[in-house]
Amino acid sequence: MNESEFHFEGEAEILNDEQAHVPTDRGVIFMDTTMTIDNESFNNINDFLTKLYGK
Amino acid sequence: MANKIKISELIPKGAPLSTTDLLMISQETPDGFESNSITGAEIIESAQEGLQRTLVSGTSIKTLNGNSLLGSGDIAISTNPKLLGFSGKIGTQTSGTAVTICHSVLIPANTLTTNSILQIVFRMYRQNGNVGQMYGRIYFNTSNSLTGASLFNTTFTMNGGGTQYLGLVERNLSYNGTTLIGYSNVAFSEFTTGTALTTALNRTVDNYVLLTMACQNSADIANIDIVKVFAYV
Repeated sequence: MNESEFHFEGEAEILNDEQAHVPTDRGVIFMDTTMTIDNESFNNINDFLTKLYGK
Repeated sequence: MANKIKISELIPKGAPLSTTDLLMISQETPDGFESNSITGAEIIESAQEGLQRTLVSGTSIKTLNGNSLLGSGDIAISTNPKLLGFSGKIGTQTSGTAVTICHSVLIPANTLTTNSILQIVFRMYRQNGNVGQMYGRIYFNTSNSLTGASLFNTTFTMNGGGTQYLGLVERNLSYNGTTLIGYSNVAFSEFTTGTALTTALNRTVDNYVLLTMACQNSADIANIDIVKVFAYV
């Protein structure tokens, strides 16, 4: 497995409009809306997580 | 009768004064001559009075952990445990639900070994307001930022509306070269039983211990006012 590869496990815990805890096989990772996915920016964490989980 | 020679006519020795040299001056008196002398050792001793003797490492000056103290430069003193960082004052405050780094401590690359202990102590501080809960958390990241940080998956909670203004948290994490193992429990201390919590950590790069706070209510302000991070290596 690539060192930068993570597998999601379970539901994310939304902390507020901009921050969330995302469970992975390597532990819980803090993510926020400063992160981009495929160069796409997000205004709120719900949209970010929707994209992240591919829903 | 000895020959008379003026001092100005003395022939220079042409070599450094040695301790075995003898300087003798005779003065003519009605009864003959009166002589005074001084040895090279006495002249040298007198000339060096009050001066610092040449230091000899391990003889006239001690060594430090086997290192000579002679010369310029700095000698880093290695202690165990190593204090990686501390603070006795409040850091960055936070209000509302935003998880905020109040304090952070750098673990320089290659500080931890394959047999180490990381001791993290911090005190949650209700800086203002007493309405809702306050949440303390520990994260690890290779940068001094929360984005992408790994959560040490325990949330330490102080309730609002009562007398919970301070909460001292301590976690001792064992480290085997790849994985931190700590105590998974919401209790502030570890003096009870609990399950093990593992967090991967690459010791060959810089890592930061991120100590964060968040509030349940926007009327409150949370902070951290004591930080101590030690590495036993």
